[in-house]
Amino acid sequence: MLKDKVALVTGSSRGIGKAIAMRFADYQASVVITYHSGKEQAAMLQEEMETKGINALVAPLDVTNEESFKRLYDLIGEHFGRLDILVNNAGIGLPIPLEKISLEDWNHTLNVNLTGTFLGIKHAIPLMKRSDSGRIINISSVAALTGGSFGPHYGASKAGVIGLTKSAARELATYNISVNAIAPGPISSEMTDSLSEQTLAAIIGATPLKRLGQTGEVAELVCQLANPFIDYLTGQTIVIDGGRYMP
Amino acid sequence: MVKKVCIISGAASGIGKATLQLFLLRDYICIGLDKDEAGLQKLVQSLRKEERERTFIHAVDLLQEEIIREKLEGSLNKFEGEIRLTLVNNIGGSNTVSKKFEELSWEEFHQINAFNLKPLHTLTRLCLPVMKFQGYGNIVNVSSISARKALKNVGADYAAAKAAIIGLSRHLAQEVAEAGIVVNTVCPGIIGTERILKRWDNRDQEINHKVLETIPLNRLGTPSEVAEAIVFLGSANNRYITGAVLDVNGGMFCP
Repeated sequence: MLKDKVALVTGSSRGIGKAIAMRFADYQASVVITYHSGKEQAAMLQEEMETKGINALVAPLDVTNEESFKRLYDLIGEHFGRLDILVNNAGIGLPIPLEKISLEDWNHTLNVNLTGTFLGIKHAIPLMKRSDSGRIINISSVAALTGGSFGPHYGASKAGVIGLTKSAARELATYNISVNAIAPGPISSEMTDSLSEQTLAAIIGATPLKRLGQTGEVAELVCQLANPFIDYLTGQTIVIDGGRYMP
Repeated sequence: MVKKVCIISGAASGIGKATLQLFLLRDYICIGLDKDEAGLQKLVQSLRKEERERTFIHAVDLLQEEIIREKLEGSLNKFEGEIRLTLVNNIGGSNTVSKKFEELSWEEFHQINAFNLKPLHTLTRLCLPVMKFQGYGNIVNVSSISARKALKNVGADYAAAKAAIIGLSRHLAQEVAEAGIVVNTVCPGIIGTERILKRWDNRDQEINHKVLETIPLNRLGTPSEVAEAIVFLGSANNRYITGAVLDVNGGMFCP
């Protein structure tokens, strides 16, 4: 389905990002893996892909740094000459109650989750214009729609991603680049490991399907949105949360 | 071996036909229902031999509950052992000329509601026992952008019927989740089906131009683009999205 496509997944050395990168490889896309701290994990992932015959590139990326993004896109341009799919996945979520959130915590979360997505989109445009069906998929969160367990800084940053998605979808439609957001509920990963057992039990109790989601399930949804046959889907936010929130 | 089976209402043309064709590509056995017998036959003729062997068609009036029950029970009983059943409630529609609300009698209003909702009610109630027994099922209901946004040239009867589908899907999703059944809704925007294109081509192009201006992608969608969304939500790959509404509309409405 995605053979000959080039896909960039930010923050793909672990968690949901890693699952997304691996699923792209399963669908035979070329994959760009980026890491912030997990250099070794990213290298291992690249090696795993290359043994399967997948063209994989690995690069460091600080999503809060504009120069870092420019260097990355220069590298992708040199290596592949194009970019078809961008998944803005890199994100952080540290559960802190409102009164305890320092300005530094707030700015850092907004910088990584929202500004990082903005920079990723902005600098991808020149390369994506060369694709016949560009795809941008932003990982938001159901916390943007309902509030959530990670606190208001996280919810606000992820809600910003949805607003950004809609505006970008309108503007980039001219270039046949679609922009959509995914709003996962709690997905079993390192991020949910930071939640208390009590919180997790409450979440599962309130989920009609009575379980957390799996990273592979989010990855599959991302790949389906990247499907070149579904050009007409743009500006949307897709909730994947086992039916806990049905907008 | 686990058999994957998909039932699609309104399969003779448009989105239903594209959906059936795509499920065939994904190795499903397909059961297509429609009252347009000639259309169903034509569809079957267009398939490859191997696909034809996996396709069952029933020309039925989808408002006739008893007849559907008879035909489908016969079809479903053929499958023994483990099956993965998908139901796509696609059939629906409005009158060619939409009346203003004040001119809409209760009978007319009710008729459009029944046309859009009764087949869904019948087919879903027929499939649920099988899905529950299997502990597995995917239901995709096809609503419309008319349920999401007030459009000119669309009547309140149609908008109400399509909005009802969303409420129903959400509720059903919650009711059957523990049985391993996921229920979702797809809301297509303006899709260039044969029927729509006919209307589209035969009217003042100035109107069409104005409509296109409201769509960021500046074009109509294709049946196969909607089919991709239906097949994703309705296939075995989707086990965690439920109660969701997926809008496939070129950016015309972004909730």
